[in-house]
Amino acid sequence: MSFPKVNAVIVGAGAGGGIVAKELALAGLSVVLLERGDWARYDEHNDDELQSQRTPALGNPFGPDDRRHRRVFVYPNGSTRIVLPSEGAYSNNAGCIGGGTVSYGAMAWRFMPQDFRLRSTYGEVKDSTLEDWPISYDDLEPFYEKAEYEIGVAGDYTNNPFCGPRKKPFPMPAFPYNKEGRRIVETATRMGLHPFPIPMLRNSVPYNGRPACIHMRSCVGFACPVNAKAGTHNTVLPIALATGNCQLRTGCVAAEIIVDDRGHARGVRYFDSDNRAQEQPADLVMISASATETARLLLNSKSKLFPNGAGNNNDWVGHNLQGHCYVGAFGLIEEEVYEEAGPGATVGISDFNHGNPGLVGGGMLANEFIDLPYRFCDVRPPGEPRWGKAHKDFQRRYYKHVVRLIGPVQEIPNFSARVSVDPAVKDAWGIPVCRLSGTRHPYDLQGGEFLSKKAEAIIKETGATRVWRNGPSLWLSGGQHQAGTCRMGNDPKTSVTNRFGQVHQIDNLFIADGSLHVTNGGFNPVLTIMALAYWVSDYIKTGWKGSKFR
Amino acid sequence: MSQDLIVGIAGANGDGVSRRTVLKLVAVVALGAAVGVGASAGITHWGRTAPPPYRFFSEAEAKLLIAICEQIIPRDDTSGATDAGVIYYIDRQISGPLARHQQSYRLGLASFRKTCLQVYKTPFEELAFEQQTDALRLIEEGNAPNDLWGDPSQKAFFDLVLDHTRQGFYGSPRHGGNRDYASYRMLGLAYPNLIGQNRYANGRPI
Amino acid sequence: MTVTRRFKLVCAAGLFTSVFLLACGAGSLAWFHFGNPTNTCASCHEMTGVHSAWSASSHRTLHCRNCHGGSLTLDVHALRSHVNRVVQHFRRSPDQPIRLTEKHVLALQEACRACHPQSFADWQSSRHSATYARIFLDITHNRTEQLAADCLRCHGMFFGGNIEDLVKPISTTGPWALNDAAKASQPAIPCLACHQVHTPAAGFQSAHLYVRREQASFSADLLPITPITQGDHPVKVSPDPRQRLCTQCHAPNAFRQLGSADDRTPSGVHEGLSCLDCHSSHSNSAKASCAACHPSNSHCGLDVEKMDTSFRSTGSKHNIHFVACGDCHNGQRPAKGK
Repeated sequence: MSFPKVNAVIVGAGAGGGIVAKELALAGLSVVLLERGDWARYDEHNDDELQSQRTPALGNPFGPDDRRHRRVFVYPNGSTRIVLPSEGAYSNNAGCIGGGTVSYGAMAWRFMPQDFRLRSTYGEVKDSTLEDWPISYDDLEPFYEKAEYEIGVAGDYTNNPFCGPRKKPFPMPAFPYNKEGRRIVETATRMGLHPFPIPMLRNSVPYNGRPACIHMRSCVGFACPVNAKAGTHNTVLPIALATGNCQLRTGCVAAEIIVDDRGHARGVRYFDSDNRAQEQPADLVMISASATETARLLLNSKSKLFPNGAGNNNDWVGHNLQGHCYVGAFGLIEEEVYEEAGPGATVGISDFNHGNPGLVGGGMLANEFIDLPYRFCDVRPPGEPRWGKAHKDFQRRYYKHVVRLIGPVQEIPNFSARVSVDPAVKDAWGIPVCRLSGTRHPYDLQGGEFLSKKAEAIIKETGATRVWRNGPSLWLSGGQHQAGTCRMGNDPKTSVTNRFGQVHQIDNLFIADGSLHVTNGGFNPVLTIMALAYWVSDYIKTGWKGSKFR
Repeated sequence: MSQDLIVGIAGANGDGVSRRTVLKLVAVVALGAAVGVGASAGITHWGRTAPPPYRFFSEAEAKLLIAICEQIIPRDDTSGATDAGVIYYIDRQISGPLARHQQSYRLGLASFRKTCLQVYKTPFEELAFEQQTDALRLIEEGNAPNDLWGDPSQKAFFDLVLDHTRQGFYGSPRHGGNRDYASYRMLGLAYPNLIGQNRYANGRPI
Repeated sequence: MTVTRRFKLVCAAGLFTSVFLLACGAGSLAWFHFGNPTNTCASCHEMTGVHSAWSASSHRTLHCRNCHGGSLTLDVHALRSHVNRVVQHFRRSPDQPIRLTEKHVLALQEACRACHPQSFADWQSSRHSATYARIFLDITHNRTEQLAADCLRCHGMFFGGNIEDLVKPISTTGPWALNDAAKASQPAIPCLACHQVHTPAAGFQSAHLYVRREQASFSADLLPITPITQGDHPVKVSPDPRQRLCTQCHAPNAFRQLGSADDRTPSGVHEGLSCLDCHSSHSNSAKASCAACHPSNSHCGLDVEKMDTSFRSTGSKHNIHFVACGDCHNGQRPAKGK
């Protein structure tokens, strides 16, 4: 069945799609927003560690489900395995309205100016596709600000000399440090570093009609029981829906972007919540389905002019899959540093993001979100027994006595780390699934070693008695920080979209999510995804001519 | 017309319903009620079954698995895996969301049993606690005779049970384990998590 | 045989058959209604746990039907769920946990009232009998703080849906309305919020907390004593299990600061007292409780009964939750009472 034509159809109601829907609907465009998941239900999963998006032992509470979705993972030795969404190798983010922003930890980092021009700052890295972004920090600054004010960020950069220039302060005051944070701040300051409160997409005071944070210990991986954590589901989406211009359809799985023989996107073919095939024609098609799923959708959209998938005539779609290699250090400490008040991560250190002698990039360090008891089972120094009385003793003795500093290493893009579509395996709707293959760039080992040693040095200084590092690995990146698979660029031969997220050669097909990232920063990427969504929307709104784009 | 019909059906010849008809009806009601009571009693009697203690495991499998889990998280001055009901967690979840592991348990437990019989000449459950620890370490490290193991491998099986035991011990009680929040009490964590509502003074929470 | 006669015969057979079947049904239902539970409900192993707990409880003299309704009194929903359970039993499907819907929790209140009229009346006179309308349509509250799923942890814990299913809109501007007008007059904190009926009579063992997210009741004995601090100093908290139950909802903020959020832990001279030392368990009234410990006069000759000791009087220096020695004695030893 085919619906009446609308101005824009958006695939994915996450960090990117939610914002685009609001911007376009408010500008008067008729919008259909397709989301494979549904509204997240708080009741079913709260404070249940086995149903947390971080440790989904019994399935992903915020989607997608294990029943209908799968992927193929290709191991470095070439063997393959079908993986389910609740398994790590699936590289899941989320599948519900709001996407990852419902259950994320909500760190609200801007990338630094250098993050947008890594190649010109550091030069070439062998065997990498390292490149500058086609846009600069200054281009994005007003849109970072918009994201900070519309979604809502609490922070204070007084003590962070490394961030890019800001025109306005944060809309909300920063959160206080917790015990662990205070210990780290004191130590790092003594060492001449510049610790500061982590900016958070979370209300430190009532903001935008939503209440202040109540400090749940179960925050990251869970939905907020009082809506103090800001996501697109409780900020921009309600505004989009209130305009009357935006129709949200849940349980809808996009199968293909319909591209006609003249290279024009005509709409989206999808399966609705009753698994019936549907078509939504539109003047403009926007894909915001995450770096893995956006790439898959483009690759599955074959047409006369694009026989290898939409926008893929130069074989760049799906390549350069990035995420973040998390490294850091842990220490056991005499003082009880655990606080029942969550979420735990309070202090950030940005001294090592850039300007590290002999190193391309670097990364931010922060103390960690509260580990609930099951996850804590793996917080162990090397060689510590995994079971028996020793396991129990460690849990009891140290659960409340660990200081941590971990952070995301700026990854060097690697062409061979990629999303393709599997030739044989299909999901419950018969759509070919993602095939994930490749590894991180070997250079990331260097970055990871560097950053984890910096963390170790600080943790040692806190007075911890036993300190160990979590080093880097080459294991394929992706997961909740997935990015890079449809990079933006000025040269159509080496990128998928132009600087406005517009797919090369398909004027009315746009992308707004982490796929656009040329590089993924040494920070959690969500605020950049949000800023990009505002940036792309702004371009569309400015060029919109009634029912046509430009 | 309707009056006619009723009279006709009841088999009365003249005016009113005959006593015979009433008697017949009473008999039918009594018979029906008796059959109803009898059938219900029969159903509840024949339907009565000894409660199957497990959904997936046989009692022998469960006994072995309980002993393994207790090794992984033993009881000391606080609850162990058995007290916390870890077996019920595993049994319930592999009959539900973790059904994909059923085969691994069935085959893995069989291999485990054979391994102990071959190496120690005694069933695992009957070994002394320290010997059980040694046996489990053997399997954890993959040092038991490999010909007794296929898929899952001994290491893979150990890792599976280790992971599920942790889940059952530390997870939410509603999934069958962590009975009465045993592990949370052990760690001194507030359970259930309680937080009062926000109170405000001048628009700021206090 | 004429056509009419044949018709009559068929009709007669039909009538007798239907009467027979109806009688069968009635007989069957009567069996389940009046029968001994060990031969009826509890003959299914799914029920044995619940049944054996009940057999050991103080309510064991009551028949299942007194509280849960019998097969002749049950509504369609309950009948269907029972039939469904029987079908599951014979199909040997894994048993589902047995849960009461809010409707049944409220129906059960009537059974509680029948045997415990005084406790019920006390509860009714207390704020704990507040209705859904009183709690969720409170304009002052709703303008200050957006309604949230977390409200249901302590109010409407048996409500079978999410907050959006209960009240609309979820905003601070309103106007707010309950989706189901019938809920307006229903109590949001029913007996089963704090009681579990299938428990032994001894001590406070019926004191259980219903934990919405686990959909289960936990004995007050097992609940933790919440550590409370004043600044950095720990406050002595009563170990009374019943108080642990109170604290679950009258809770401090996540930082566990004395007097924060809904915390009412006593400090000062009354530090360490249990809520129940002053408050009655069902009415929550603390009226005239001072006299239990302070026979007529305090040490300094002031009449405790005439002081404003109410928790709500934050300005009163006799506020029983906070009053400390220094509040009256300015750091000096008090003069000897006359």
